[in-house]
Amino acid sequence: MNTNLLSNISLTTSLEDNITTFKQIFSDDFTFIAREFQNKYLPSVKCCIFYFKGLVDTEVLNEHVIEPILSENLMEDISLLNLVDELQYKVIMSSDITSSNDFQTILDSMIYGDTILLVDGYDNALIINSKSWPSRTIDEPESAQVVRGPREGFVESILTNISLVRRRIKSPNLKLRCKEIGVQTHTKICIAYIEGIADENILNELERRLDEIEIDGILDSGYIQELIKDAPYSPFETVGSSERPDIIAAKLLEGRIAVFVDGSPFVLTVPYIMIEYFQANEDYYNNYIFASFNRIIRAASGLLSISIPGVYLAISTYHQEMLPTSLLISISASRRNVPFPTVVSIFVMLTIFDIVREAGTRIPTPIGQAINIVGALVLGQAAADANLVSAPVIIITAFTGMTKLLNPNLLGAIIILRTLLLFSSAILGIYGFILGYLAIVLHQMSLRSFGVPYMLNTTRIKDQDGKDAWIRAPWWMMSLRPKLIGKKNLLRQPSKKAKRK
Amino acid sequence: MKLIKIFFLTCILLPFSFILVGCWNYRELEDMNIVVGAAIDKGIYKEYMITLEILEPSIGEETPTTSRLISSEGDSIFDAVRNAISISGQKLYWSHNKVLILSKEIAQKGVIGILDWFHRDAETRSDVYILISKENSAKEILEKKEKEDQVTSFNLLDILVNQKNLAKAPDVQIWKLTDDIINDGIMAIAPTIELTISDDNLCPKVAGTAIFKNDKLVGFLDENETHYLLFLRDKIKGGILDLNPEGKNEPPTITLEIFDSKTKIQPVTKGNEIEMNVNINTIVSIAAIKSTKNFVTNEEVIKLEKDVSNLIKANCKKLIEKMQSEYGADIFGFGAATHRREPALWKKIGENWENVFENLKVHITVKVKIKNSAMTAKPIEVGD
Repeated sequence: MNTNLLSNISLTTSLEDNITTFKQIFSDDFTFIAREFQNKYLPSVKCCIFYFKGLVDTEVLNEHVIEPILSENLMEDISLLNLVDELQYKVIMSSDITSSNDFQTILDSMIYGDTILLVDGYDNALIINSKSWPSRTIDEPESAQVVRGPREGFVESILTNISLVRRRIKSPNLKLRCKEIGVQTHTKICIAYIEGIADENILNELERRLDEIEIDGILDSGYIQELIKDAPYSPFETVGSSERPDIIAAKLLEGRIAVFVDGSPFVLTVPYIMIEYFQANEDYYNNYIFASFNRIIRAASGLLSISIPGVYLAISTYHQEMLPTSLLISISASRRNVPFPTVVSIFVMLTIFDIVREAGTRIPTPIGQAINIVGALVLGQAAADANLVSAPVIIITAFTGMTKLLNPNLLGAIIILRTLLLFSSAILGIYGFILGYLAIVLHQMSLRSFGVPYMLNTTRIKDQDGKDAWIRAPWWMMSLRPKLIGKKNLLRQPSKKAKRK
Repeated sequence: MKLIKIFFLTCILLPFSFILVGCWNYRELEDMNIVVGAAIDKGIYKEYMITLEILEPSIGEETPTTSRLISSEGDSIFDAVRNAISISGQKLYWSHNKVLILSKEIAQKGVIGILDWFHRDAETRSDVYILISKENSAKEILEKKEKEDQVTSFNLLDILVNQKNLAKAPDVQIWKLTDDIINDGIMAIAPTIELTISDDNLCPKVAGTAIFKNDKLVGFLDENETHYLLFLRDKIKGGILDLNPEGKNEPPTITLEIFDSKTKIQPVTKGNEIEMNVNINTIVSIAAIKSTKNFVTNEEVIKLEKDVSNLIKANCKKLIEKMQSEYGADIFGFGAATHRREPALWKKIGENWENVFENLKVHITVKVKIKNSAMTAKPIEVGD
């Protein structure tokens, strides 16, 4: 179906011709239905509905569209001025019905699940909302489960997703701007923001970037995420994503902008900054002391997981004088019969761990058991017993593996950075590690997400911005929204601020 | 254009990052022989003979870590160390060296040449504990173990570290020995080590002090003298004092535990004359009483305090007099104190310090405070 050809087609007043045109366009599509019918009392009213099987609710069609037109006595009150208007206003029972004569609009709506009604002698069509498609139930997302907090997760339908957020923010200020992206897929995209809190500059920038996208299809929000990212070559994400409505609602309230993509349960948020990797929704529902502790643990394990292999390698191969003597003895003893250099064994073990992890997520559950056993054997005692790797390397691998799972969003970046630091340590020892680390920090410092510094608030401890960075301050202390993100309306708890003044 | 610039900059900077840093030496732990102890003797064929204790790490709980000894000779220390490779097979790793034992002979000839290597080499550390062997050689100390599969050097390290509870030998690390040797107004000391019989075995025992004059060993002090030397050097952190307040030639009946002791050396100038005021403040407690007499009454405690201070004072005085008359070595740091407090005077007399020291008048004041009497106040009554 070529769009250029379609632009030349328009509806005619002859129903016969119109039916032929539609049938030509969807010639090889058995789900396309064109159903003709007439009114009992006024046979001159010839109608035809077009729809796709599977996309529409046939009950609605039968009871509220076809039946009234078929059986209603149209002769009685018909003015015959404009039959289409007559049908739209008096006969068809549907909450959402529009009329159009633009062929492109008609086609788009039909593909989206609407039903088109054409009447003989008129060149405008009625678009009747009859969308109905199979949908998953709303349950807790597997990617982010919580002990405390709502157990709702987004589904694949954009309308359901928006409704989930709307239910949390019952404010007319929640604005939704929709557009379609994807030459072939015509995927619906919805930009959600709260007017008066979200920064317009960021909003405009987001719209500009979305408008620039020219791609065949969008199958998941991951496409958008990558296409509008600030630093395309960086392992760090500058666009966030979440499967949970409560997280999206919270981010909207902070002044961030959400992007819903039809067909994807992952909703994007911009701007996205480094500290958000370590923030979990549960932090805000639990006791703030416990939450702060958890957040520090998360940040520390993110740090540990990229540095442990590098530091161990650097110290055990360049700076043995830094080890306590007893540790030196045990490491030396455990390495006695290992044939490979430390750097090789660490790298191999980490890769094996990632293979097991990837296999675990990719393979069907019934085989998963086997993977677990093999993984445990490979990474466990057997490798050390066979003298393939030394025991400390197994500990390093296990610890790195464990710590990196605490920040699932950071996983991709961790694996890359960890390898980078491992090799820089292998070349220059702890000096190389520091150089590598500096490079990472410099890179992070230079990043921007939609004009907002990526490392925003990570250097703050005391002031308002630091209250939701490395720790989660109690709610009664967080009276301001994050600066630079919610700068249009910073006051989160206006009365609190007034009292302090 | 920008890319070319970056490329050239990288070409220049990258080699520097390899050349100009101290970390180029990738080596695996198992490829090294970890030296934990060294003994230096006079060689049979060459100038020095060095005996090294090398760790033999082993995995598992059943097989404890053991050690082996290798000896090699050389005209200089470094020469001997390098020659050891032809025996050990692997490069020696010195950063975890714990103790250095010097034989009497070597110490008498001067130790500065040995210490210099330890300071100069990149791998060695200056926190190595130094010991002077009172036996014929330093080597035999390393050979004798208390238990079969034990690392002698670790054992010696434990002894030295825990000396503070005994205060019968100083603990001296290489940097301290060197410091004392280079500095004016103080003579170096080092702990001595000898072999003693314990449960039918010959095993090392650390006690007593070796006295250096400049960098040469001149004599020894026994355990008792060392105890009071530590008082004067303000190095007492523990230890005990025995005394018999009832009779002079009886065996001691009261044991006091030292909690803390502070010593201040104050030079007093009288024109060009100088005298030393030594103030010792000691806090002790009664640890054991081997008598039925009750010492824990006010008068008795005051009397006891006086007896203890007299004991310390007498012994310190004896030691100072011995050093003045026999060795002329100011191991107490009186000169250093003068240097610190009276720099102008030191300029005049500093060069002639040895003579000044031999005739130096030292006034010792000792204050002892008995803090408590441990768990029981009264002596244990022996029933019928």
